[in-house]
Amino acid sequence: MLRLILSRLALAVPVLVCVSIVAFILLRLAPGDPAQLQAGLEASPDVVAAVRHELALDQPWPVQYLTWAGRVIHGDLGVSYSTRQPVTLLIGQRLPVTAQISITALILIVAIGVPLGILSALHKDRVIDQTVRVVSLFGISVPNFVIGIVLVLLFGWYFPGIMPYEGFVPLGTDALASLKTTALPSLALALAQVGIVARLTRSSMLEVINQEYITAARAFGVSEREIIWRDALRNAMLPVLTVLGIIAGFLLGGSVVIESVFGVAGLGRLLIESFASRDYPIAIGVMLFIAVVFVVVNLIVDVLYGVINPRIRSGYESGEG
Amino acid sequence: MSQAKADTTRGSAPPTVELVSRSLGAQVFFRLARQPVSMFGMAGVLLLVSIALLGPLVAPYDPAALSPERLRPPSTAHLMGTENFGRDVFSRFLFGTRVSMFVGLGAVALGLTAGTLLGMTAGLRAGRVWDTLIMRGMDVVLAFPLLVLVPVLAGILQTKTIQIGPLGLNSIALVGLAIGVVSTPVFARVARASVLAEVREDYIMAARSFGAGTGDLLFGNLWPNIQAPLIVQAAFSLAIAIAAEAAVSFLGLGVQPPDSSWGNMLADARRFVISGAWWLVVCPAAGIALAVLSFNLLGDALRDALDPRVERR
Amino acid sequence: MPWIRELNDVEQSPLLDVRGLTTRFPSDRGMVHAVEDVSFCIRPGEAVGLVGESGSGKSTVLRSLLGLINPPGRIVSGAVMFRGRDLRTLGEHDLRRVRGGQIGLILQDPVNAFNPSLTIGDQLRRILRLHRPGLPAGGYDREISRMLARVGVDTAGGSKLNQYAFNYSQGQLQRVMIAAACLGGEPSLVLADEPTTSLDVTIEAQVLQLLRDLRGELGLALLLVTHNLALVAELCDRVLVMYAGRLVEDSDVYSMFESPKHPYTRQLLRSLPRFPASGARLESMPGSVPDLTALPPGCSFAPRCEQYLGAICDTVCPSLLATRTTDQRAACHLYA
Repeated sequence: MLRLILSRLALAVPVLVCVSIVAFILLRLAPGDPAQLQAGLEASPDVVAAVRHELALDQPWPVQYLTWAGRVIHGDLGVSYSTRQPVTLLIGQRLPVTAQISITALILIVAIGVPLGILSALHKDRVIDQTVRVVSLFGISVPNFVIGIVLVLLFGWYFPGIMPYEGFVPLGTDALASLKTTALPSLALALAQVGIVARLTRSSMLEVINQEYITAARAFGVSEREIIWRDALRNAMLPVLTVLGIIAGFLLGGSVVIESVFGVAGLGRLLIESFASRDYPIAIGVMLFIAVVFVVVNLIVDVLYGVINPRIRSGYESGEG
Repeated sequence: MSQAKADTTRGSAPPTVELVSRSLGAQVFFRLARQPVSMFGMAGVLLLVSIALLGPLVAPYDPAALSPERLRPPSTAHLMGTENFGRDVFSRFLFGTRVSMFVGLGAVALGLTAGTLLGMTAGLRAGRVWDTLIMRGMDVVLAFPLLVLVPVLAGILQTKTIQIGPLGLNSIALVGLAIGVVSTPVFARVARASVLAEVREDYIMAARSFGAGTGDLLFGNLWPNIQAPLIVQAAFSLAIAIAAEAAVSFLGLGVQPPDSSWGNMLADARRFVISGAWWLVVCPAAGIALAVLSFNLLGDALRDALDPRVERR
Repeated sequence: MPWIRELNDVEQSPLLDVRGLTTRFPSDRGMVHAVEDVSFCIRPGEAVGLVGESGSGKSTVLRSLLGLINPPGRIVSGAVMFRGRDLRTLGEHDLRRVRGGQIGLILQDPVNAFNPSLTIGDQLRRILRLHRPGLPAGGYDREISRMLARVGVDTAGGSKLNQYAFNYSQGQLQRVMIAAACLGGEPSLVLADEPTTSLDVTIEAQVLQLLRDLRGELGLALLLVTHNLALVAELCDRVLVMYAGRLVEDSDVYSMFESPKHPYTRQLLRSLPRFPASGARLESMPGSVPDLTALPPGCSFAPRCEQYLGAICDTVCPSLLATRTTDQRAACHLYA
């Protein structure tokens, strides 16, 4: 198992390096001169040149990249062009916000989606199944930010005062208020993805329920309840687990937009703002951070998959995988 | 494929068998036609395509025409009201449908072509240099969350209006290009996997033994058999591409005003929704929902219809 | 003396009495009549073979007995009398006690019969927990090891119980399945659905021997579904022949091979290759198996029957009738 983790991490490094190089190049290709933006649009060329030198933007690109990469290995992501604050500090400030919303959304998705999917599978083609399928379909079709805008309309105009539709309060400051500010953004994120999980759980359960070993268990007198909880669910959850890795990706991407809808100062907003102000260190730092999170999440999913499916686990242990 | 009708007879004469043969397209259509859900998908797509083609011709107003009637709710003069510059929302929606559909279709066309070529090449050279290079490249593209890569790409190319012959690429085309790039890896993976699966089949070995070269293999033998999963993926990618354009334009990084798209109409909507301008949300939201839903349904239906082994439930 | 009369009654009343069993599956092409009006009996300790081609309905009959038909398929009508109680009317709680406890089931493909995510030990312990209430909880593993040893599977002191199905060989798994079915509870009837079809020939012989031994030891009745007539000849006392969802012949095994009564059985036996090869051409039956969604009103075998009698065969479906030999019944107008 340990070997698996290490080998996956080793494979991830070249991909991360490529990602950083591509991001580096793309940012510098974009029109707009950060030095100009920082110096001010009316500044004289001399001032701009001085700023450019200060930000080390007059160096050739490969040199810039290697200096940056060298610092990254020591855990230093550089400083913001505009505020001179360390990028790591900024990420550290904004990360809990995004994390809180994303994790709440993930919990909501699993807590709502999986039971709905199971119910749907067990009562196939009856009213509850049709309803869940239709609602899931709509959930998948309407993008999360559209749901978000509708929620803002509801709670900002029609029913004001019940739920905050803007801003964010960290957990540390005021737990209850924090939960309230988390509610709508997480809900918007979650509702868009619940459908996927419900549908997948449903089809996975249906497939498992028709397997011979389920019939065999029944033939030996095992109760329906135990069959569902012990035999079917275990095997049905495997595909759902892999999807959760992908969903985590969507949640990260989705939070970029949702944070704009709800005026939340999170990681996504930080990224978008850094594009606008051509604040390269922040842009690259955040992109790298997101890529790392992706890798870690997928790794966790693989490990969990191995834990649940014994055949894969022994494959891991004997050095395959 | 064919359907056989057997006539079992008394005595020792072998049964007579009639073969009723239908082309693949006809078979697919008939299978699709039996499912009401897939008909809804097809109807939705047709409706959107019609609006995209004909809508701008019947729009009551010029979508860029400013007027002093700012942020008015729906009325007989303005079916879906006006936005904050006095422009007619309904007309903007009709033009915006054309933009959003164009971006989506263009992006998927690009991704499909590029991805298929790359994927097929990788599949045929499986395990060797080209395969690894291509697929690692796809991994790098995939490592970027969509909403990061598209604005970056669209942002770069944006002001450098690229002239290719008579075509000047504006923000619309560039967003399409960016989403196309992001869609490529999926198609590459599907194409490669299909090629790998087919290459093991005996008919490929037979073709090789008759002296078929790579070109023959690719287009003569493999292509007909890997079409199906690619077509299905195209439907799903269309749904994703349209949603992606909406999100990117919503953030202000995609289609720029005065052009309207579903996404940037929603950006306006967000700003004014807290003052109760609900009419700004309805049309673009409905457009996106209908498009994504229809393409998803179509994808589901195509997947069932094109797989000869699936029994419909 | 009353107790002698009781003994006689026990001898004569069948262990399993199936009456008019009908099971259908709705499908896109129409309603599939998998099992139509099937009736037969099994006496205590008797081994009965249920034979037929693929699609004749024999496996469906087996699963219908224990109510194991998955929706949208349904048992449409019929009674399954086991020890005097109709299994179809039992509540879930009672039915679960019968399943595995009084009637055992051996499935065709042992690899698929076990949950890949649970250890073999867990699955066997669960069976014991359900059907052996007398055992102390700590004694399960010992009992399981004993059971498996009896069928020839070595548990290496119990450690193999913590492994999963994919760690066992096919032959081992089938033996485990047999142990679970025959020794898990205290069954008086074992249903076997093609128990050796997916096994290698060498293992097949061992498994057959095992079944024979267990039957002898425990006095089990056996309903063996197979398309392999040789198996039937080896193991069974009586044979039921199915065609297109209906029972066409019910006879004791010797009589069936010596003088089959139903035209289908006759043509079937004639098409078997014989050793030593006589040089004569193998006969095959003309035509093909009818479509189960569109069965003719009369006898389903009529289109291929060599002894076709005329219009009556096409319009009236024959029921199982006694032939001149009392132990054989055939569904054919020849015997009307």
